Amino acid sequence: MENIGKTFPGVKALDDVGIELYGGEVLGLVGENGAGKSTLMNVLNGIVQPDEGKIYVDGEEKEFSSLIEAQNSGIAYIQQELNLIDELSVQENLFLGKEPLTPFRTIKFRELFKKTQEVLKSLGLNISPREKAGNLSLAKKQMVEIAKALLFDAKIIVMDEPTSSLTDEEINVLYKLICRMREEGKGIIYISHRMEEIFSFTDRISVLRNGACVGSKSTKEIDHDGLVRMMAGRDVEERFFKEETQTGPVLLELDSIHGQGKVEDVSIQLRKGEILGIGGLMGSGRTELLETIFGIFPPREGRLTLDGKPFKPTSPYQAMDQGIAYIPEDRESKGLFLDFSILANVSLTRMEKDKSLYNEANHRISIDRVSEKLGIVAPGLDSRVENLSGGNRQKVILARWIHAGMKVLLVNEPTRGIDVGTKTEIYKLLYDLNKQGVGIIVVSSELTELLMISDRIVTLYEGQLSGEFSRKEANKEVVLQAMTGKKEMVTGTG
Amino acid sequence: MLLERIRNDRNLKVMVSLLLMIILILGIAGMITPRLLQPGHLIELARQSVPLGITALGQSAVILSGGIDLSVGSIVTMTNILAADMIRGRDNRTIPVVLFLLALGILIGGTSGFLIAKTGIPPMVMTFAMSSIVRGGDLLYSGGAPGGRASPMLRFFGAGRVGPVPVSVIIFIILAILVLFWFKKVRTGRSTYFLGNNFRAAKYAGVPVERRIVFIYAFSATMAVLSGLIFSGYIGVGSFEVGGEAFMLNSVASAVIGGNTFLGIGNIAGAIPGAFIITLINSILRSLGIAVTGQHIMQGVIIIVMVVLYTGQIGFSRKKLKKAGG
Ligand SMILES: Nc1ncnc2c1ncn2[C@@H]1O[C@H](COP(=O)(O)OP(=O)(O)OP(=O)(O)O)[C@@H](O)[C@H]1O
Ligand SMILES: [Mg+2]
Repeated sequence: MENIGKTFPGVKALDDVGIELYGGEVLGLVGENGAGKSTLMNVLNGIVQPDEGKIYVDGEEKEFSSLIEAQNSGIAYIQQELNLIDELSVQENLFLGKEPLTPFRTIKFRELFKKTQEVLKSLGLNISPREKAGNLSLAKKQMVEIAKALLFDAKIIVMDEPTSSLTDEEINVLYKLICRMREEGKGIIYISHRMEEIFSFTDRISVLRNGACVGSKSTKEIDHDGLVRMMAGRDVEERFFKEETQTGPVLLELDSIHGQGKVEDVSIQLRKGEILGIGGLMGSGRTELLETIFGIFPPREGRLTLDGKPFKPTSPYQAMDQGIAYIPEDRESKGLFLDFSILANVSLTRMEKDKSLYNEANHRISIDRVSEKLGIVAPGLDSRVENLSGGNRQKVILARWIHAGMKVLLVNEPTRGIDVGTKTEIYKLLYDLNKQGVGIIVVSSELTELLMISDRIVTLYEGQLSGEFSRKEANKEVVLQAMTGKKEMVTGTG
Repeated sequence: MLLERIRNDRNLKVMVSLLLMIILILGIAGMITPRLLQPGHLIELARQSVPLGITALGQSAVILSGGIDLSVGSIVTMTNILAADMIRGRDNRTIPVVLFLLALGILIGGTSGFLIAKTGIPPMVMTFAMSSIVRGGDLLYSGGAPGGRASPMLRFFGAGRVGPVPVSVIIFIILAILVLFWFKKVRTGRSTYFLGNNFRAAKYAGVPVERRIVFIYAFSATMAVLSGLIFSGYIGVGSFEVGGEAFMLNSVASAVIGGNTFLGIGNIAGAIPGAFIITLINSILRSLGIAVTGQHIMQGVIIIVMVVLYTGQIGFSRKKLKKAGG
């Protein structure tokens, strides 16, 4: 790709960017939120038409006006935002538009089923091809997206943050897959905000900053700090541990809660000003537990106490009204109104909470402040959320709850898709909320993150508590062991 | 400056296109039959469009929330038949009957909304079934031969005038202001747009989505009752000719022409010019002696033209956005 330029109304997203990719290589593409990584890949895949610049594939100049044209030239694209159709089954999603047909142009369902099974198996995925995509967890959806790209034989595979909601186990599967594809001589472009992956997966790294390419380096030539500095253009404070804090009285208490799905007999306490981390593998019931507290699936059994008073979450509205906030991992489907402005997206919850007339001017003043504090990059509060980069979308949801106010914050993957520098900002923000007395429960598949920000960590295995660790006791090994269900290693109890 | 704003604000753009459309149609109509442009006739057109306008406000709310209400036509018919039969020309019965019918409307719409929210039955199926039930109830009640007549009070609302201005037009203006305010400033109304754009996200943002669905369908049915009352006041008797399926289709057409989509994109206010355009076209075609079929064809064409205009030129489809950038 040469001299690629693209301007959106109000934003110069790409400015004279050039990258090259060789066969048998993994190219890392990094940059802060809104640097233009996804836009560049959208240009490569014919989703966005560039204002200027040229694309060459195998030395031949190409112009793609649609995703299909790019696919026909052997490019597979795993987009940052999931594109599965919830109402269709996994197998239908995988082969959408490419179904194997009989001579009568009907679909060969048996073949569809078999092929899907094979691909899923190669990814170590334990789901039925006939399962509806809408019933899958975010991590599984992401794996299915990866499977979709593997199905047809591509020369170039673009992966835009494929691991943003995966745990180490699945990331390992992906790693092996990438290695295999590299050996087969394929070229891979890999986008991620997780620096460990960038360093272990890639051969070469190209860095984007504010829509410009600020350099390409061989992975061996650069270290973590150097790369982060290149991305940000400045030094970034990174290891930002939570200070030992004096936590207050118990704020939220779960007493042998039986919730949706596997969640069984979970008892935990959350104190004021505390961050409680929840670790667990995919399918361990982490999301279900949070959603039980938030009233999406009211608990089947057990008692909850909030601020010393009995609390029975029956709907998100009621939970919100009592001061519970929830940031879902699946921000496009559960979080955002893509066609509406930032202002509309953020003000909604506060409007419901205040139960008063909607006063746009008041909301605007206060949201302006929140947005500045979070560093949301956008032309203005009236910009549509669809035009924001992934990281900025995440901040919009955070802004919504800060604007509304809360006692307890439940966060599912707080920094999903957020760049290194901004992660620190988000941690600071969580600590600030702590200081104001907010209790926070964090679910994260990034163990380093969990260890860094939590005052206390509990682990879930198959829907049940399998361990609890104070900040001093917690380290990677013991937490991981508890997460994988090795009960004998469990130390300490509440 | 103003042009810039019109380009960037979709709802403003829709409104401007609708006004231009009205002017265009009136211009063409004026060339064919100049009599049409006389002030008296224009006021008459406004009066004719009131019942449709009221129903279209309700229909727009439902559509913006991601649903559709196929029962409004039957509810209008029901209101007319019950109002005439129960009032039987007596002023002192008017207010109790009006209150009763409004309550009945809330009950019917609320039931549809409740079942849609609780069981997940698709709105189209639910409201179609409700429409059948209501129509059956009408036939049962009237025995197929509706009777009774409106009272002077109801006639005043439906057909009276204050100076040159029809009372129903005044009622409509007040009602429209209230409704627009409600859907802009009050959370029960305002959240409608969010439900349509992403129902799940609305739930996760703390909107009591089920209650809101009940509210929206009850609102739509209430508007249909009000519209049926105005009709009754104008016609003066009960009749199966009032409301019905054609009227329901017109309310959907008005909402769609008014720029409202199933994705919560749009503005309930669009229903007003939308209803006026439909009434205008039907009136022109009728004056040209074109039969009902012609009206249907014309309406379909207008819907397609307007929707293409909104999605294409107004740049709301994702494809266009990309091109607009280039
Ligand atoms: N369709 C669009 N209209 C207007 N602006 C856009 C559009 N798409 C992207 N942008 C803007 O272009 C810039 C680059 O966005 P892009 O999505 O490429 O960032 P990114 O590097 O992928 O960030 P992230 O790491 O957060 O995913 C951002 O400022 C974004 O707001
Ligand atoms: Mg991106």
